[in-house]
Amino acid sequence: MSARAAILAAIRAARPDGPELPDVRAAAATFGAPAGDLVARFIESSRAGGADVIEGTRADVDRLADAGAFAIDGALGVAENGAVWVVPPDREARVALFLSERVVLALDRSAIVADFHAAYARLDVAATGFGAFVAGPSKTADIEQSLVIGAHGPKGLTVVLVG
Amino acid sequence: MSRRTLALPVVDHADAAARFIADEARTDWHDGALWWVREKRDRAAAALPEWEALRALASRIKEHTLSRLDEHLERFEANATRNGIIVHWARDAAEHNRIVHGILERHRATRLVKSKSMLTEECGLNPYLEARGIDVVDTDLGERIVQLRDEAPSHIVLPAIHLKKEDVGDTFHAHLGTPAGLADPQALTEAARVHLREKFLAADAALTGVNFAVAESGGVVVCTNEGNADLGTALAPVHIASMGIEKIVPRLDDLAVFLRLLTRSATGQPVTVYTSHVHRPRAGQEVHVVLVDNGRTTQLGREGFWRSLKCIRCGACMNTCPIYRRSGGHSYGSTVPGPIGSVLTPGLDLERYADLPFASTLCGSCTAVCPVMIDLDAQLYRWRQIVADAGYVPRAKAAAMKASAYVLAHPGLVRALGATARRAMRVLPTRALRRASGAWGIARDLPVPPRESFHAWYRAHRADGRAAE
Repeated sequence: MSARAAILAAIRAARPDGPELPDVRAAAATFGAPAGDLVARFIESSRAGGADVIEGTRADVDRLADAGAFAIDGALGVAENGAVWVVPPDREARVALFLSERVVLALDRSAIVADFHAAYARLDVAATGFGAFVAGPSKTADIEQSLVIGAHGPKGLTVVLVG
Repeated sequence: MSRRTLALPVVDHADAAARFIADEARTDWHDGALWWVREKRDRAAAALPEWEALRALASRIKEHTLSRLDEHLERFEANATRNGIIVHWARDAAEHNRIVHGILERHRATRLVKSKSMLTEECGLNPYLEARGIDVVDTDLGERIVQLRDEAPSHIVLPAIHLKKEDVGDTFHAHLGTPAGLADPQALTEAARVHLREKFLAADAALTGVNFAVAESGGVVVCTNEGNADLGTALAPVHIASMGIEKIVPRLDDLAVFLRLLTRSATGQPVTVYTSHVHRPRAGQEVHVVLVDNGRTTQLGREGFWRSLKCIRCGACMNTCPIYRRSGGHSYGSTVPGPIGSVLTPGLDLERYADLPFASTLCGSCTAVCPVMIDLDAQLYRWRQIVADAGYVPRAKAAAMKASAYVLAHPGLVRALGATARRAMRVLPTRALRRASGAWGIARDLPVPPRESFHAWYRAHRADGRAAE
């Protein structure tokens, strides 16, 4: 018997009774929205995660790219946690997103949603090959719980809110 | 070779813990560090009015998934395969290790970078691969530190929580050539960054864990703060993702619930820096997912314990547990320590891990913080009964329990012994009383003995009808 067949048979013999899947979207719709507009909350969350946030234009993006940062567009921002959904178009971009010292994300102000429920409802993640929520520069607190910005990934992240 | 013939040592948590707490200052420091993480979790949870609703949703999604685990795994396999991901199944640790090694061999890969995977710790993957000529580098900073020290991680999220920065400094001085005495976390992290970049760039293959695998879309999700998982998989031509079969979630919408709970519970952050979704290999890359059982289907069939498979490995139970905080992860002798470890591990080898369910005061704090509402304290209690029925309670303790049961069943005996105890506490010197009270008296002040028992007081006051004072 293959491992696959053995494991599936073991599960069928062992599995308990359980509830129906809940309607997550309906539940999320009952959660109250926090105060403040989406852009303001996104900026606060993003900065709390160690990112720089500029309300600006494409020119700001270009300026930072000229100074050596890797620039890439974000498709969507999440106000509750400052995360930006990024789908690198090719291998080079995917590598640069994590290997560069500094990264700048260009994000349309109108592309900010309240929370992860809204994000997954809006995005078509299943159609991507690789996509990531990026919520700031890389960090670690593995040495005596001291926060260090810039672990293995980028040391600096700037989000430029355009549009 | 069966594990019995290897005569693996029976875990004695109290014994291991005694060694840990011998250093009182370090114990206090470890305790404080973990409680601080608990407090960060509390602030993050309090900021979400829907926190309890999210917990209930998460619990229900997981219970549903486990009740139809076969269906969701088959759907995941079908969708992942359609996406171009190669899916493998492993009944146990040995099979998992053979599969991983087989993939590496086919690609003639000898340099592997690994991001955090407790499953691969459970399977003993590192020594297996190293014995076969593969250079394995754990890239999570905490894991790299313990790897260089030849230690096991002591916490599933914060692997080096038991180490002070001076310890890390010494390790890096020995292995990375940093100056002796350098203990600044920023500088040490920078040294590790430089050292690990070389490894990322030279790697033939990257192995990651899986935080969540999504059945409806056939993809896997990996969460990190350091970016190490992504550096590995962005550069290497082979990505192997090892996952326990319980990591499946049915839908992409479910991810929102779990991601909102996971990092807040683990570190108090609203989200990890990176939440990466891998659905397809890029051109010229292979992506493999290894689905591992290794005792999970057995646990699934245990009526009082299957809910422990809801675990999303956040570590909140460890951060809050007064025993874990004051004994450290290494005292448990298991891959996953703390409350969740003590309900998952006895099922693997009851004799060896019989002591773990007793490494608890049953305070229930773990149950209160668990994001997926596992009834941890109830399961710890259930395991105790199974351990006792199997005869694995130490003889002295079993005898003491029997004697206590006899005494408590005879009220006359309780009154007589109580009177003796009260007299003894008034008459005997403190030193003798401390010794008589065993472990209890080591770090506690003894109570002031009451003048009379409640029974006597009640009889006296009830007789003349006076109201209780």
